[in-house]
Amino acid sequence: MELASLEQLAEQYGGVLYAFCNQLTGSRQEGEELYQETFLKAVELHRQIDAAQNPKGFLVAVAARLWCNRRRKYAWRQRIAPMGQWDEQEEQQPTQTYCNNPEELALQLEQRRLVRQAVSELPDKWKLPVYMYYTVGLSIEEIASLLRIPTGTVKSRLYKAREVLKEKLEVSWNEK
Amino acid sequence: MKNDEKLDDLLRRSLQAEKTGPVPSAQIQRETIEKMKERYTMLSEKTRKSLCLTVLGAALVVAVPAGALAAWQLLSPAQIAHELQDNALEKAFASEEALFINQSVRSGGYRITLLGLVSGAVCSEYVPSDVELGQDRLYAAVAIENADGSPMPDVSSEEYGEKTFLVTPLIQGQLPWQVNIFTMGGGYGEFVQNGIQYRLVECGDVTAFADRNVWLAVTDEFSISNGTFLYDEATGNLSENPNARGVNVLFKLPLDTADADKAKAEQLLQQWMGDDADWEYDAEAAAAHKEQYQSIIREGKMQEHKLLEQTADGSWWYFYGDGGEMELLPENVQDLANGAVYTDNQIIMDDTENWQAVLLGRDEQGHLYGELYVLPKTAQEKDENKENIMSISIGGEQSQ
Repeated sequence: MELASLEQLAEQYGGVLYAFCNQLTGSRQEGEELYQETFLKAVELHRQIDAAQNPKGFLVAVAARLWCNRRRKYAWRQRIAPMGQWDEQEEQQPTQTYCNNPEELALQLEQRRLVRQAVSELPDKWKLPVYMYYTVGLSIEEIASLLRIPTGTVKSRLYKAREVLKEKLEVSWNEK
Repeated sequence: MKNDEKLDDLLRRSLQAEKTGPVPSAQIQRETIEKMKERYTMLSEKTRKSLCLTVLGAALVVAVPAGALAAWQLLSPAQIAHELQDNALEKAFASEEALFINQSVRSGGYRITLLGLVSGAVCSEYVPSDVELGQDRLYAAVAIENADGSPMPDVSSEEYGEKTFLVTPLIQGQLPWQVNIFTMGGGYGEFVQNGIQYRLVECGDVTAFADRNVWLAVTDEFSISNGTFLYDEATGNLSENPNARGVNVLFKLPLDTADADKAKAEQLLQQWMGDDADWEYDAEAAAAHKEQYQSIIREGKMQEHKLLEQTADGSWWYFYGDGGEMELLPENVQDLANGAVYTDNQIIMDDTENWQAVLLGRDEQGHLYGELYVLPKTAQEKDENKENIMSISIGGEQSQ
């Protein structure tokens, strides 16, 4: 894939990858670093990217791998220079469907904050498929193929994650 | 709507990138595209340059003795700091204060080189939040290569991180599992270049201990146990363990005895040992855990018995219950005899009603199996623990 096509990928999938990186790292600054690093790695791997073969999944897998591989390095950096937390104010507001009045908007934002907090506290091996499934919208088969694990393992990790989240979020989702 | 569907819907609404995610700012997007262009150009140039360097390198190999070539081809500590984007540390390594060691040792299939050291009042641009300005720190640069010359896995490859290394200072007279990089508030940065893994270790300074033997130890174990290196109770000296299976290296640091400072050393030990209190092995709690685990196996009901499944990477998996899974690494099973049970991973789980324990072992026919035991909670236990889904592993890490 040539540079122009890679730039096109950045335009087309930048949003979803940016959200994935932010959620995965739990910090805007670190998320931005991972986002940029992913596209730079994509440049290095440009010969392996096929526009017809799920380039969105490829980018997400690169980001996930970079994140996993560099966690220890990031841990050092994090400890040395704590990163700013992801700024909720900069997020998009809930879509109009869920935003009928200010009170409801506030509730939705709070609920979303609680959900994200709960997900971010999951063990890494559950968190990754959760973000790939819900944030990026990849299928279980795609996740299995990208993480190189059996589909049964993806399913069981999602199941475990949901079970833990169900307990943690009991109050929150019973309200809806 | 069913509860599961409601949760699914809630997760989707809260996490879905298109609807709720932040978007990269125009500036980030611009920067990213610019960097991509730079990297693309660099890659094209690098391909051209590497062809020239290969030819030049081949010519030099004939003229330069092997030992000298080894040190020559490695990055210097200052270059390593530069790669890790730490300009202040790069300058510190380039200063006269830095010690250049360049000592290589082969161990466990790797060649480990201690490249150099620098210490003193915080040299790095990245200052740990718990380190006061003016506090002395030690920075050590190490290179790790495959002894057979094959490249170490690149950080972006799947294999990177499969083999872990622990690099830590150790001090004569201090038990290595009590005073080490973990208790010294240490950390490291790492990268792989030209098939060589470089690590820059940072931790509390050890110069005050210059009147004792001080080593920089390298091992491929996850943590320092009493068998990693041999500790001589009489002298407090450490030696490499000849029976170690993997990497087991001690570099004696050439500290200047004139820099020894007993009062400061004592103060540092108090600080490090104080921190260590949190990490101390709690024998009582471990014994209680072991007893509870055994009672679940003994008194509980075996809910299932299944053979483990092996994945392509050689690991063995026990998929149990409704989506539970447990992994046994190849090195965990290689010494497991027929008829034996695996005892290093005694995991207890619980929900509101029951205790659960998993037993892994190898049957008389040599098959690896997993068993799930369930023991109902007493009324008191139900009251005590309504919140946590918890698992604790003796001698291992805690996980949720």
